[in-house]
Amino acid sequence: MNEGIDRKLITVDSVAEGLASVGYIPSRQIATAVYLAERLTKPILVEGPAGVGKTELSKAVASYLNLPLIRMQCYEGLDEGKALYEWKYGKQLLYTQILKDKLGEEMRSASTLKEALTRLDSIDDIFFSERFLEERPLLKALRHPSGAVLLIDEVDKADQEFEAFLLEILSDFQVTIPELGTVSAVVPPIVFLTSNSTRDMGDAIKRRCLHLHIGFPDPHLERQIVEVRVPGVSERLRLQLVSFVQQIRGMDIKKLPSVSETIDWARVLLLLHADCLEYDMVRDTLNVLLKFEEDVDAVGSQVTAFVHKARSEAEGCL
Amino acid sequence: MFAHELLVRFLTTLRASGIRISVAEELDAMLVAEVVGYKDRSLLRDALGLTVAKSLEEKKIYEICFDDFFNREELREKLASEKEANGKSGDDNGSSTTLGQMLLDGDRSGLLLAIELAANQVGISQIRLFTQINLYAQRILEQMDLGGVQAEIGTMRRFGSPQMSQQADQLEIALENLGEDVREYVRRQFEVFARGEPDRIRDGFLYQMRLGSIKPRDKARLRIIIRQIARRLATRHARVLRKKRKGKLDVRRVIRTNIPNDGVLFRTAFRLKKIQRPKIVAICDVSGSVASSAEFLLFFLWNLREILSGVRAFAFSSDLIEVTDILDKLDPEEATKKIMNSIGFGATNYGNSLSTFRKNWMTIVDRKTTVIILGDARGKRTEPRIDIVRELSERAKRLIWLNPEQRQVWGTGDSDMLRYKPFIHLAKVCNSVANLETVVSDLLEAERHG
Repeated sequence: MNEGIDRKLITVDSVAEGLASVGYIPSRQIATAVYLAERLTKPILVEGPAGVGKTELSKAVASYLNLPLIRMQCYEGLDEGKALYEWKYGKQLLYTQILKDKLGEEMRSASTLKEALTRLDSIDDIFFSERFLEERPLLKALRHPSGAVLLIDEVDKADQEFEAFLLEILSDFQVTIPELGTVSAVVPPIVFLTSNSTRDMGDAIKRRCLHLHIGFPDPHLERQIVEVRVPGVSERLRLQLVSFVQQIRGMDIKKLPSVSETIDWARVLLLLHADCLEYDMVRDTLNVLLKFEEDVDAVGSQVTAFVHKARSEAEGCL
Repeated sequence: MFAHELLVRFLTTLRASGIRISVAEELDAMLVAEVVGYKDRSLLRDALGLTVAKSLEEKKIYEICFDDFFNREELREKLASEKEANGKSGDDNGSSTTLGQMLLDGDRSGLLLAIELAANQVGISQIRLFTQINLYAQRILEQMDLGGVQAEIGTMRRFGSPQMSQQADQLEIALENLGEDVREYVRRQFEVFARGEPDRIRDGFLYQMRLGSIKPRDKARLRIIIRQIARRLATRHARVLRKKRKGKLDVRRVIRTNIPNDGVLFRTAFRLKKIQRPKIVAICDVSGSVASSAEFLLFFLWNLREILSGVRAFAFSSDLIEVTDILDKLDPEEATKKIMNSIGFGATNYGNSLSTFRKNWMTIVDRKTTVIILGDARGKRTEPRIDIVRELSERAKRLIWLNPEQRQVWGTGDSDMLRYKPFIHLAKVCNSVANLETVVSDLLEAERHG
C-alpha cells in the first residue's frame, strides 16, 4: 500500500471523513470495518438487505483512495474461466497461422527429430505466456501495480464450489495458474464481498473475512445521507421524509424501503418542488418507495397518520 | 499482558454464549485489539464485533455480552483500586480473620472482590451443568476461609461474654448473606460460561426423542435443529443435482462456440440434462390425536419447501385445506400457528378430507408426483375411503406414508393404517427428528434417480 493511502486510512475518523468527502456517509461500524480491513489486509464480507449501500461502499472506498474498482458480479455457473483467467484462443490460433511459415523454417533447419522437438517445446511456451493471457477480474485485481478495490458482488449467488475457489485468494492474495505458476498480489487489494443472504455463506469464508452487517440506518444517519445525496432538499422536508420512511420500516410489509429508495423518493419530491410532505403527493409517489402493489395498498391506508406524525416530529426538531 | 488475558476471558464468555469463534478468529481478535487499543470502548466494541460475530444473530448476542462483560470488568477494577486505597487502614474490630473482619465491617466491595478472586482460584469458568452451582458455591466459600470464621464463631460462643456472643450472632447472619451472594454469583457465572453447553447436550437428546413427548420449553430449540437439518439436506441435494445435469456433447453448440477460433475445435459444450422438477404433494394430519407432532411436521414441511421447489402442501383434520400459500408467506412459527388455528385440533376424518382432496386437487397428481401423507391413520371410526388412497397410489409416482406411531400399534383400535398399507409404496415410522432426516434424505435420493 503506498504512502498516500496509508495516510488516508490512519484512523477510523479519517476514514469516516474521507468516505463522507466522496458522498458516502458511513456509520461508525462501517468506518471501523474499512479501517481494519486495510490494517489487517483482510477482506470484508458485507451483508444486509438490498439497497442499504453495500455495493456503494466499495465504490466510495475506491474513489476516496483513488484506486481502480474492479467489480465481479457473481451468478450461478460462474467459473474460473470467467473469474480468474482465460487463454486468448483466437489470438493463439491467429498467430500460429501467421507464423506457420516461420515455424516451418525453424523446423526445417533442425537436423534430428529430437532437436525439432526441443525447438517446438520452446515455442509452445511462447504461446502460453503472458501475451496470450486474458485477465479476468480476480487476476486483474491481484496484478494491478498500485493495488485495487476488488468488489465480489452478490457472492451468495455463485455456487459453493466457487466459494471454495475464492478461499486461496482471500487468505493469501494469490492464485495458482497451472501454466504460469503462482501469482501473488503486487499490492494486496482491498476486497469487499457482498451478500444478500439468499443462502448462508460457508464458515470457511466467513472465518477469513471481517463480517460487516449494514442494516437500515437510524434517522440521524439517514438524514445526513439524504443531505449529501440530494442537496437541494429543504431541512423541513428532509426531516419529514426520513421520519416517514422510518415509520414505514416499522410495518410488516413485503419489501421494506431501503436507503436507496429514500434517496430516490427525495429526488422525486425535489422535482415536484415539495417543501413539506402533502398527503396527496405522498400517495401519488408511494410507488417510488415501495415495490409491491400490496405494500402500496397497506401503506396507503396509513399515509394520513404517518404524515401527521412526521410533520409533528419535524416541527419538534426544527 | 493484563489486557490480553482480559480479551481471552471475554472470548471465552462469547463462546459460552453460543458464538462460534475459531482459533484463527481468536488470533484476529487479538490483532484487532492491538490495533485499536482498549481505551476507546465503543471502537473496541465495533472492531471486535466485526472480527468474531459473523451473522446478525451472533452480532446481537455479541453486543449484549460485550456490555455485560466490560461493565463488570469496570466494576471489578474500581473495587480493586478502592481496596488499595483504604486497604491497610482497617482497624481491628474483634475478628481475627480477614473474612470475619469484612463481614463485621459490612465491607461489601471487599467481599465482592474476594468472591471474584476465590472463584477464579476454584476455576469457575469450568462450570458446565446447572447441578454444579451449589458445589461451586461451597468451594468458593471454603476458598474464602469459611472454616476459619466458623471456628471463630465457635470460640466466641464458648467464651460466652455477652458482647462476644452478640458478635457471633452478627457474624452468623453475615455469613448467611454471604452464602446467598456467592450462590447468586455462581448462578450468573453459570449463565455466562455454560449457556452453550447444556444446549449441546440437549440437542443430542432432542434429535432422538419422540416428537410427541417433547416439552414446550424445548420446542424453540427443536426448531433450530430442524432448520439446520433442512439446510444440510438442501446443500447436499443441490450439489448432486448440479453434477448430474451435465449431459451429452452438444455438437451444434461446440461448433458455434468455436467460430471465433476459426472453426478449430478448442472448447467443448455439453447439453444440460433436463431436470425433472420433483413434484411433491404433502398432506399433513393436524388433528387432536397427532397435534403434538403435527406442529413439527408442519414446520418440517415449511423447511422442505425451501429445499424443493414445487411442493404443494395440504393440512386436514375433519376437512382439508391447501396451506401452500400460508407456508409461503409467513414465518414457520406464524404459519404453523395460523394453520393450527384454522384447521388444527379437530376430530379426524380421513374419509371426508380425502374426498375433498379428490374433488378439488386430484388433477395435480400425475405420474411425476410423489404424494406424502403425514398422519396416524386414526379416523375415529369414520369411513376411511380406501378407494381414494388407491386412486392416489395409481396416479402418483409414489405414495409415501409417514406415521408418527410405532409399527406395532398400526391397525390397533381405530387405526386404519393396515387397510391403507397395501396401496402405499413406502410406509415409515416418523416420530423423531432423526427419523425425519433419514426419511427426507431417502426421499431426495429417490427423486434424483426417479
